[in-house]
Amino acid sequence: MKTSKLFLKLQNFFNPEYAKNKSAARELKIILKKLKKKEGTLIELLDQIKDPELQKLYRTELEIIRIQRAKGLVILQDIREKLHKKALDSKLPLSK
Amino acid sequence: MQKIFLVVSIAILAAGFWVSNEFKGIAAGVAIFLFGMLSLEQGFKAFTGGALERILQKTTNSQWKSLIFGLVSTTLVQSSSLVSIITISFLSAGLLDLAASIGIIFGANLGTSTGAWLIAGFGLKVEISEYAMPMLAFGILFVLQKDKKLQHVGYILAGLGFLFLGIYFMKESFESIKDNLRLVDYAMPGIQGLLIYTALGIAATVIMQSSHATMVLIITALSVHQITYENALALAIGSNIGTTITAIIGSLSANANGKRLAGAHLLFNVITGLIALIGIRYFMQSVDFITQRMGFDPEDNTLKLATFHSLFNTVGIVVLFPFIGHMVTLFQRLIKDKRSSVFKPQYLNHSATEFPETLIESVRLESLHLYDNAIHIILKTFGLHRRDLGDNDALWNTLEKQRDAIEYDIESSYNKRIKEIYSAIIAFISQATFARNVEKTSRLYWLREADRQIVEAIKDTKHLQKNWMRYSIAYNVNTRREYKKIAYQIALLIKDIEIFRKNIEQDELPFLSLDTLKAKIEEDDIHITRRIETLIRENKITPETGSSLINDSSYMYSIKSNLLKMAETLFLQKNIQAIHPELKLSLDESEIMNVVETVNASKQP
Repeated sequence: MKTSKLFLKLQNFFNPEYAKNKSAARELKIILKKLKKKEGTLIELLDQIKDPELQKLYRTELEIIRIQRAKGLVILQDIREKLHKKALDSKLPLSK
Repeated sequence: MQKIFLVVSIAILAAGFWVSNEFKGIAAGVAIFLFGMLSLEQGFKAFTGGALERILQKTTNSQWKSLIFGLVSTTLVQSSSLVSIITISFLSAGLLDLAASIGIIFGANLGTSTGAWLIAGFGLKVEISEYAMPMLAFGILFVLQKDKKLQHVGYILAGLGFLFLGIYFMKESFESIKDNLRLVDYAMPGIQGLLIYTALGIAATVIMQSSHATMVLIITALSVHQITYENALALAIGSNIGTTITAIIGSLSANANGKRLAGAHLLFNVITGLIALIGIRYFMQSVDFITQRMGFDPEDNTLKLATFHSLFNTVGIVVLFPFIGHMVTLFQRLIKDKRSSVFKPQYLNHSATEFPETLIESVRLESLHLYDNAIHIILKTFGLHRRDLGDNDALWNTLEKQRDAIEYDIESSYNKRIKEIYSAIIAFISQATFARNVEKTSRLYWLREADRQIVEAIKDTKHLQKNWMRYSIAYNVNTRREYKKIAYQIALLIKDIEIFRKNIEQDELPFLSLDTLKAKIEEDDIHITRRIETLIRENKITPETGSSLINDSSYMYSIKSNLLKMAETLFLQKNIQAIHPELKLSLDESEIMNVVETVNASKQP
């Protein structure tokens, strides 16, 4: 095992909360990326569609995705702050 | 049958105790050994805490991996019975396929031969009781602790202690029996001896239901020269065949797949036994060669027996492993699936209650069955069928064309298609013995909630049916159309749920995509209320009809909400870990309402 990997494992072992937050941030970033992609696809679709019923349906979906993303960004910011504080407390490398 | 068997066993034991003092020692040794096996099994079963199940699910995607899993797990827990029971349980719940299960059983057969090595190589070479006593003392001390983990360690330690103590008793009794009785005088050479001792090995293992116990008995008797080496080999072959009794008994309460697995297990062990019997001379020569190369004492027949046990099981695997696919086909032909009625529970087998994972999966599958039956009833109430859900325009036309309202007997359908399955699920869940496992208990809780929501949806449909029968064929075109729209919207939501169910694997964010359906339900509710108000205001329907419509639109809202909540639980349960991060991003009721209002407002100039 490489030293950096061993160091990471030790770090996770001694700071389970830090590791948990890091993993939550990672998972959240993946979800946010998928939501952004979905948002882009819907915007493109909305430009092409003329049927008002279908347009309304997509607008609703788009609005939902925007709120989901906004919620996700707030949670991600919160996790990042926690990680930042923890890193400063224990002089750990900051999460990217 | 079982009672007769018990009476005969008691009579034989009593007669044995009467005749011989040493017999008491041997019987007590076997009893202590079996008790040790039970304790060990209990310890491992609880101690694994799902770990064995998790590994089982991940490592059995190929037949080789299944074989290795069977070999390693049986070697570690020293119980092929436990591995067989887990396998049957997982197979019954549909978490494993038959080919992988057969692979595990092959591996477990070889794994069980490590027990013979432990007894021959370690159990008889050291003063085993020296180890047994402290293990028992520490084991029982741990069992009495409140901490569950310590308790499980205690069961394992005590189990090992009892195993060792049992071996010690058997060894001592065989030593002392030498002075009064020489069993070796009854030794039978040749084919006759081979067959009779094989039959004796089968009988002993069937009675004790443990090939481990039979092997210990054989090895201890062999170590004090109470039986000949040739007869010991035949007994070992017999015990290998007799051990299938555990899987056969276990499969009695399992479904067709469980029975097929027990059949394949029996076939494998019988063929392996026949190979060993036919080629006994060659096997003996090979064993002599191997033990000589490994530097064992040529006079040590116990180690030679252990080598023989491993060798003929390995040969069996080499010969039969390529035919696993054929075995699957053969047993699928021989043991047919029972043509189960849609009205009866299909997945709730007793064997699936052994482990939390299999119990939860069985409940999930049965709940899906309940959902399918419920959808049938709801659609039938509005004169529809699943096949009508294809095209939206065609669906509306089907509803529009209905000139007569045929009363569908929901009460009788509920009793036939729902009640028995729902009751069976509740009874099945009540057998769950993992109350302390919060995660698994909550999964069961949510499944029970989903079932309740399904039943609620049917009850609301029944309430709605009364006015549907009256107004869906009313002369007033507006009244008629509004009722048809209620049926149409319910059918559309069922269609959306069916699409969601079908595409769940492809949907990257399945849980979050349900928010759109929630918004649609809210929007439909707002629209129907507005339409009813307009119709009353413009005197197109009477206020009495309007109030009925308002009541029935609430039933529609309730049916749709219950079905959607059910879908959230039932279809996403299997991937509960994967959707966990999405939960925090999902919109609550007020946020959904805000979205609907924002979109509606933006439409207006």
